[in-house]
Amino acid sequence: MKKIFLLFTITLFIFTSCEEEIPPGLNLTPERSVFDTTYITNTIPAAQVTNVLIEDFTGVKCPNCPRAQTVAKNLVIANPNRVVVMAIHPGKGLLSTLTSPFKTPGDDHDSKYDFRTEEGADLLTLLGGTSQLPIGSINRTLFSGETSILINDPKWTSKTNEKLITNSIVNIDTFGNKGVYFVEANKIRVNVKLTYTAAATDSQFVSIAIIEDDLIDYQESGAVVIEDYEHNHVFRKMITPITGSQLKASIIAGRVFEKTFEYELKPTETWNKKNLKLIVFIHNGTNGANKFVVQQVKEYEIH
Amino acid sequence: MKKILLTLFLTITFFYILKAQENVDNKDKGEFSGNFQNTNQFYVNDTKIGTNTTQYKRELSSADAWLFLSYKLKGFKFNLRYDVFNNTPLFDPSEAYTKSGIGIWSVSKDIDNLNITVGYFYDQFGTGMVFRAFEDRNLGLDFAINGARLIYTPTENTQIKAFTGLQKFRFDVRPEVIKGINIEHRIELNENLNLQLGASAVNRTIDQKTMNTVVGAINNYDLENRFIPTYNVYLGNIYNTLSYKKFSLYTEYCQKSKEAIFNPVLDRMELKDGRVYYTSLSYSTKGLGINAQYKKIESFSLRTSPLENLNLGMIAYLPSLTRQNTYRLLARYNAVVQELGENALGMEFTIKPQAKFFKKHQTTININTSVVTSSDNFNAKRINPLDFEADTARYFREHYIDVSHKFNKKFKAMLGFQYINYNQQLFEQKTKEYEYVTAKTYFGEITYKLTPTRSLRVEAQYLETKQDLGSFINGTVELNIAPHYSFSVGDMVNVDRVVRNTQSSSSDLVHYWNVFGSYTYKTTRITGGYIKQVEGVNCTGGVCRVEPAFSGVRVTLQTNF
Repeated sequence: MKKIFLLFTITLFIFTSCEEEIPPGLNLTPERSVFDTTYITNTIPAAQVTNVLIEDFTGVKCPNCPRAQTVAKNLVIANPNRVVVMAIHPGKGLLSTLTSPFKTPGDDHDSKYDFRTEEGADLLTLLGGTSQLPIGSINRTLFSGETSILINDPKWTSKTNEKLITNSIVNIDTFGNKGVYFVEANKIRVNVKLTYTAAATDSQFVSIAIIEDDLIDYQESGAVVIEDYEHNHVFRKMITPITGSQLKASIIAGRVFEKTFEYELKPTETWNKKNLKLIVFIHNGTNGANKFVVQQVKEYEIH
Repeated sequence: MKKILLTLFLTITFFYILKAQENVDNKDKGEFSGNFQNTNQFYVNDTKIGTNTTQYKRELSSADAWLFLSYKLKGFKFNLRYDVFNNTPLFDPSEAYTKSGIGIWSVSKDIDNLNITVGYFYDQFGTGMVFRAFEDRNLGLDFAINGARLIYTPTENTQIKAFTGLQKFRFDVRPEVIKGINIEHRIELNENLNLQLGASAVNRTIDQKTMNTVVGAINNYDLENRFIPTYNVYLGNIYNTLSYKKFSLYTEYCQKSKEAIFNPVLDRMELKDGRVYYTSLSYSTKGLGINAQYKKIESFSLRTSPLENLNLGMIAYLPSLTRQNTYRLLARYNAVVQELGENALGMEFTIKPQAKFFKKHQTTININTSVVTSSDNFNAKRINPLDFEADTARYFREHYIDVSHKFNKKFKAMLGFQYINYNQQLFEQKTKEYEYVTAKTYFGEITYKLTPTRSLRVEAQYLETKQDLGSFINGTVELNIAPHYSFSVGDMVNVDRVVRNTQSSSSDLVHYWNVFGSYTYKTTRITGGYIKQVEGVNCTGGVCRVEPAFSGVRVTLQTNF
């Protein structure tokens, strides 16, 4: 009997002994919007065509990832200002072997940068998770015949073209003399104006991400390691929570939101300010059949 | 997947039947059993009683059926249940749900002291307050677990259970993983004193997709109301039944770790731990039985996820301490167990006077009293059974007495009285225009044996209240012709009607009449009736749901084989 109670106690211990991670996307900090208004306009503008956000989950030690980046690059070239790429280096668990920089003992190379972010890992978990790279989402859409939002790069071109021929229900613009700019030396300000040209039944969110171009560093490609690979669209930071900042009003045609967000770079965020860009995208919430779907996206340089 | 499982099940069954037939002369052929239940409803709109669900407007009829088959052979047991739902309001009275298929299947095997089950199973730990997988067809509940379970019985006084699985939801399963372990041990100290000890641990893990939705909801709360939700919640309980001569004392303590639970009052989730204290003392001697129970609940809601509410996704089952009434008007007001917090006290006395006259006439007196308040609002005045003030701080209170007496071999009678206080806004989520209900019900029943095989039963109740829908009177006359037939007619009349909706402010009396007949042959029973049923709360053991009014024909069939 004593053995049985000992077994029972051990089982209880196993039940409760491990600590949990904080769920991805949880936002416990105040919203970074410093100005926020909403109204309904009688003059509804023409709907913008839908742009496409490719979230490319990638890694510097992932030999097939340059191939996926080429697919994304070709789509950007073929569709000027219509396709936006966010190269996310997630790196947790199994994926660390594909995403960690060339710095570990046994590496013949020494990476200059570590592109991995906690937010990137959380974004991957939020969109369904994977144990393989490269993989990506096209406007965070679960396409017909697919079981996941995250799909392999050979499918990106057809799915992107499918999205590009539609109209968006929301127009993304900026307001003010300068839309997106450094209001102080290290403080970014974003004045974003969102105009709905049609109603939405899903809850709507705005997300804003900082990316960086022109980062020269090592990248594994096939059987070789390229020393001076040009890393572009590297995801650095979300200004909003990774699940987005909700647009809290009834979403009907003519609904306008004007929001100003600010983000001050931390001393550790020693990014090249000249190469930073902002991606603003509107998407559905985390619920329902069309959860996460990106309605519209735009990329802005920071002046 | 289900087709594969069905094929597998049938193949194994077929194989064993063949095997059994090959050795028909000297081998065990196994044992085959089952049952079938079918309910058909035909809806006839009656705006006077407020029938307004989709079945009255579009489908006009519905049918439910369950066929359960079980085959036992050489320590193996194969179970399969086929469920049919056609336009049924069973799961949600506001929808017409249609689907058929394998509801549950399981294979189990006894290996010495170990029983192994895979597939769907029903079970519970202790009273079920930390884990109960159960089915209640009347309420449209089916909380079977699809997974694996081990039951180990090392000695006749000890049993250990462990399981892991997913909770059934209609013809699918919910994504959250549930696992648990339970141990029970009986110690007989001497012939008068024994203990039955038990302890359990249960864990539920939320999947990432569900967590994303939880996080999305939390991110929309005001900053001060946001919190870090947990993927895992842990529950444990310890319990004991101490039996000493004619006394029996049951005590149980349940504890639950912090998790997100939905608070309907605040209309948002909160991060809370929870606990339940429960005790029951009973004493039984010649002519007297006493049972007293007390239960305190503090934020003890356990479902598959905090996104589920009402009767959905229940893992922990919190039993009600209030009386389970069967008469139509006595059962009109029920105390739904308040998971977020309640104090409940119940006492029951069964008295059989031992004087020669009363013994000869089998006179029995039943007295019951119960009170339910919020978890932090339980003072002496509030639980005093003689304080008849309608204190709206009480969630629920009931005083009940009945006296039955057999006058002679042919004639017996029963008279009784019930007094109810009922917080309708709380229990039925009604608006503020629904006042706190105080109801008095006078009731009686007589049974007269016409011949050795024929008897006539008459029951009547008068419920007096100025709240809710007002006062009702209910009467039923039933003729039983043993062993096959039973017929009854009855009417429930809203004699003193409270009208809230001005569109239906007719001063006509509202009748809820019914005509019913049944035929029983061996293990088969067929019933049919025209029924008008008032809107109200339907409860089984503390689990309740608000049901809309019903008007129409109901035909049922039930058989065992």
